[in-house]
Amino acid sequence: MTSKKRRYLNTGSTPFRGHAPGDEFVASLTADEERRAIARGSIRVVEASKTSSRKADDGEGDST
Amino acid sequence: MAKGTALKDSVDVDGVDLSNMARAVVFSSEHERIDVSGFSASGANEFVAGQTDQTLTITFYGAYGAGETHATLYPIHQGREVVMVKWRADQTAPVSATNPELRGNGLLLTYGSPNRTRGEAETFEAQFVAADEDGFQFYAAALP
Repeated sequence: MTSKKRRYLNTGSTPFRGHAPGDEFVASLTADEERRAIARGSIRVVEASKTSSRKADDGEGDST
Repeated sequence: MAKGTALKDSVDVDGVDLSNMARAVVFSSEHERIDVSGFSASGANEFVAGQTDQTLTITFYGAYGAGETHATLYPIHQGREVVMVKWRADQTAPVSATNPELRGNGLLLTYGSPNRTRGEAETFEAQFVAADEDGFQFYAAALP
């Protein structure tokens, strides 16, 4: 399972991976972790991290 | 070592800190007992350990907001997803030998929400079983 480093915003009302609601953070989530977290409203993608080797448009459409 | 009171537990499911949404945690790890008794002078039964069955049962409060219990747990249950589940006794202290973290990849086979009674706080049980060969184990260091 591949993971990509991206910048996320915690949009939920509970901490996610140690980051408080409203916090932006950079993390490497697997595709499944990211899919579940976005679907439940925990996070949204802010942007691909500059350290990422993946293109910014890779899955960015998941972000709302 | 002081005797503990369950107050500051940390409960994390699939990266979501559900500590404040949880009120009880019960871990069970049981090796099957295989009788290998033979004739003996004492007549005592003799056993060896067989398969290990592990469950992690957490009592949660019902909450239906983004990233809360229902939004986190039900899709995992419905989709038969394998997720990382973590518990430790003191959320204010890092994982260590004296504050070990129980963790493993779990399947949420039993999801008991809604479980509502008029005038009472809604609580329900969610039971995880180990989803891979590593099972649930206690670790003295957090994941990198």
